[in-house]
Amino acid sequence: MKALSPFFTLLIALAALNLSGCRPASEGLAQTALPDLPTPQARLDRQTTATALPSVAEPARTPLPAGKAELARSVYGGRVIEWVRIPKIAVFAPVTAVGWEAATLSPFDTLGPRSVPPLFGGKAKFAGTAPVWDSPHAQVGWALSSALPGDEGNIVLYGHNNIDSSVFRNLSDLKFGDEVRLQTGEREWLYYVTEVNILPVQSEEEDREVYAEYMSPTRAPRLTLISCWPPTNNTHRVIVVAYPAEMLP
Amino acid sequence: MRLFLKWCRVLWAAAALALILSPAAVARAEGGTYAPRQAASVAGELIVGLKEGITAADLALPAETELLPSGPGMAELNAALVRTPRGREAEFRARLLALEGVQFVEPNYRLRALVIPSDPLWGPSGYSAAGQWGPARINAPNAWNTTTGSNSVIVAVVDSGVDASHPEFAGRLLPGHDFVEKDDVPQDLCGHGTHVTGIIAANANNGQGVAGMDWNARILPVRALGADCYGNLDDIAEALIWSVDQGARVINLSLGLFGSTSRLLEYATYYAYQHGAAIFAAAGNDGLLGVYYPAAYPWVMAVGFTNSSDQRAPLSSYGPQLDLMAPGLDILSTTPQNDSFYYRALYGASSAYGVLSGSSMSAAFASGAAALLASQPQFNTPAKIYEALTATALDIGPPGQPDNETGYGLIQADGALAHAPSPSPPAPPAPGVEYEFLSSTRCQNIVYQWDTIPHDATTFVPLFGNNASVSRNLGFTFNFGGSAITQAVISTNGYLAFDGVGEGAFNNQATNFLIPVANAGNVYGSDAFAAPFWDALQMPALSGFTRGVFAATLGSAPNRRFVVEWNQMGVQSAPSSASLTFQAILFEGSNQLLFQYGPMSGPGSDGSSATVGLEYNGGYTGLQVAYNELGAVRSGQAIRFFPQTPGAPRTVPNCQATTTAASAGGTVTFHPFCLEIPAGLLPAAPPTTVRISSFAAFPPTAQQGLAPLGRFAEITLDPTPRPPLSPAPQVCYYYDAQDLLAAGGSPGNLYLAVFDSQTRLWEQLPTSVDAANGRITAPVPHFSIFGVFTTPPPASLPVTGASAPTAGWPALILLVVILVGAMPLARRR
Repeated sequence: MKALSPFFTLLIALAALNLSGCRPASEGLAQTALPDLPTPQARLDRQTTATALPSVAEPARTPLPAGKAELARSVYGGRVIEWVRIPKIAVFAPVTAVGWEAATLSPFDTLGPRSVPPLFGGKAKFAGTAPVWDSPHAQVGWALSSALPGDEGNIVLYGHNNIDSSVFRNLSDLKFGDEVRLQTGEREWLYYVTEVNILPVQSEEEDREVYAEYMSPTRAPRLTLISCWPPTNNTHRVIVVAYPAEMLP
Repeated sequence: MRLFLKWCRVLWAAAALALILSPAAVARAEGGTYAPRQAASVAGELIVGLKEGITAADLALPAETELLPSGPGMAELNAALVRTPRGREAEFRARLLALEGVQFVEPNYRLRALVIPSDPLWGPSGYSAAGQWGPARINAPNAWNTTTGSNSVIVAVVDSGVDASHPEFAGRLLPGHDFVEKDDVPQDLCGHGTHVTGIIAANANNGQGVAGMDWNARILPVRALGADCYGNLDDIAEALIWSVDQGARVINLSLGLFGSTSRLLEYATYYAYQHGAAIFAAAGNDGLLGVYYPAAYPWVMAVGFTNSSDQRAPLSSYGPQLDLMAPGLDILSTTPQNDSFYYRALYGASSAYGVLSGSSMSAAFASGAAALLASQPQFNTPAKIYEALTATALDIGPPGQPDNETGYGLIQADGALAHAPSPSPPAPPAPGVEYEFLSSTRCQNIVYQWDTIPHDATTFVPLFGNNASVSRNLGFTFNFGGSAITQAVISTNGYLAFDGVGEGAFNNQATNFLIPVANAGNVYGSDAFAAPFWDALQMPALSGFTRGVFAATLGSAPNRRFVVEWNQMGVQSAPSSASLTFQAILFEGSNQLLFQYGPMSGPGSDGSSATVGLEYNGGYTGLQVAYNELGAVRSGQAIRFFPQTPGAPRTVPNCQATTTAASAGGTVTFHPFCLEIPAGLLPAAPPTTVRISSFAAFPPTAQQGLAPLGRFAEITLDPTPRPPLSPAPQVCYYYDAQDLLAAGGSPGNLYLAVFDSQTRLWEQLPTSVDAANGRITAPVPHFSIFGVFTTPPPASLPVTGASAPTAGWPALILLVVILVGAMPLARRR
């Protein structure tokens, strides 16, 4: 029995690594909050304020909104999506704007500015800083680089199905023709589901190169909803495509 | 205790094992059954959609693939056709998607003619005993009293071609195109296209055969379905683009596919809709829930089919995307006059005339009715044609419109013609002019110099009370946002409106709002205005001609200017305590605008409740300087707007500032850029001149993977300190809300880069965020051009779940089990 203990330790280690599927391995680290340390730059600021040069006047500035949702509202006003309603699967959830963060791979490599090799043509390489999408937590996330209702383009909404919340738990139950309603600050927009894809996730590579196509911009209006399936272990992606019910003149 | 430990270990092992095994096990058990339904596609071919600015030649195609030739339509849709080894399309789809510059990859789907070929009872069986019952059921004879169509309308039939020798089309056919055989002879080898065309537009009143829905429209025969009545997606996309380029107002698509959306089909149909074509497509003949593509797209009318009793035919597909119904069962129409077409060989269909069934036929009736509508001037857009047909359709399904089974109902051609289309806002025009602004607070080459106008009875603008407006002639023609302006409506609320006086015009608006960004949806109406300080302002107590609003045209042609001055205005929220004096100047010839701010004091004078900027292009486009932004404007500030024609060489000057620095160093702020010079870097004497020039566009950014924000600054020091710069100066940049949105909402995604003029490449600088001051900073390796870039969005999907629900209490229990299980180890030591 005692001899088995290292084996159990190994099992636990393997279990901890077994977080792939719908969830890339880097996810746990991406959310690590780091304390703000005074950087050398901040010290420089204090030094130089005393000897400000006769410079061109700088206008006083309104502080930028703190959150991404407030940021989106400050720029898009009432066009921002506030709620999503999917009667078929009893979803009536608030929508928040989500963006992306350049994830730091090692939690120890965080002091001082990020060291990134220069770009010398070709594919940009962000060593240690592959960006990841924000978690919308209990809400539904609107990718703030995607379109808004009324735009010609792809509106991308995503939600959790078993971590943080299960807002999109039953997304895979949607069928051709089901309604999705988006409420903005100004009006409600109706969409009809035309496609429900349940795609097996074999590797992160596939997620990146094959399925990311669904999030990319389109030239015609459409709505894309993204979550995982099934909620017990999330071996698949569920991606729902919907089109607006009517064209505005 | 011992027993508890034992159980803990058992649980421990079981939990760990379950975590490891379950995903794979379930994947094996359930994978495959959930593969998406796939329509037929061409073996050994894939369609590759490209990102903006990428052409097919830029692709580094993997081995064993090659680019296939495709026409101008595919180029217009920014897509390419690629040959792959047969049977390995899925593998190569993944490889192509991994390429830089590729947006989507999809099979080259096969779309088929939507007649009912599977059931011989429904197939062509000679001339119909019922005769031509279809037009009567949709009131076409009554419609023909209003119009029988116009030869100025072009109807494109994207199908299997047309038998050009058929007398029913004499004098009606335009030179078409064959996208299957890539020639100009769209001869129908299937029989479907000729039948559909006959329904739309067979010659009538000619003493022979059948009568089409429209008797005068010109037919554009476009062959995209082959002799087997199937067509490749790339040919159909080409055909759609070509049809609208030929001026087609109506496009009939009696074809479709089911189970797979296609981005290329989506783009091609949307392109056609945007370019003024009303598109009618067959809803499908499965009799099941599920409208076919392209009919399911909202910009395409999906047409199901009825029998001669106005009932939905049982085989007509349905769903919420279904729009209209039209006759489709046993429809008599034209067939090719020869004996060698496919439907004749398959069903023994008769030559010259025959009967077919399906939503193909109903789509054709709808296209014919639409061609009648398109001949009338009030139906000048696809949206108005769609509205007329849906609003006047006869409800034949369950009460209430629309419903899944029959959409809005059966087409009524006469009713649709009598329908008055609802007025729609004009389509957003492409902005002929864009503006950029430079402010004197940042740019030393923008100078504040108050333009004094006399205060007398001629310049006094008689605005009495709040929220008032008065129109004044400029005295010259001013080009504002691409429109020629001769008058301005002057409002007490600190703006000039250019869309006239009266109902619906943009007058007397006290509540200021956000100015839409470039080409946004027309959210706030079709406004055109220039707002130096749009807020709810208070007219001051008049005293002679000292206070109030004044306007005058100064100078002489061709360099006149129109000056409006708001003098000692209050704000309505605090009438007596604020005093705002500002002016707006419109320049003849250069078409520039200048806002200047004189003495500004009291609450609200800092711009914290005002909108500053321009809105033009029918309200779709604007340039906002500030919206309710504290410190946006101040006394002694000038903001000059420069018009710039898109695509033309830039005429907007760079924003420039010059200052000096010595060995003590310091901060040079040149909003939004700044430069921190450390002590000891520069010589004590002579003082070093620091020049900063900022601009929005810098050409050499073709490096892949770069996402510039259009913020560049050239920083030069004279004399230039010799690299390596030690201690290193820091370049900094104050980001705004737009920058943050482009950077995914996180300032950490922004970075500064320096342009290396020798390698002509951008070099990323180690950038840190100074969130307290709202800026990013980076050390300067050498002085050159600096740019602001963002980390592009992730190339992978977001995390939306874990492979096991480890979050929360299950994880906690697991941890307890592990710790208790490990206790004996600790005790031993």
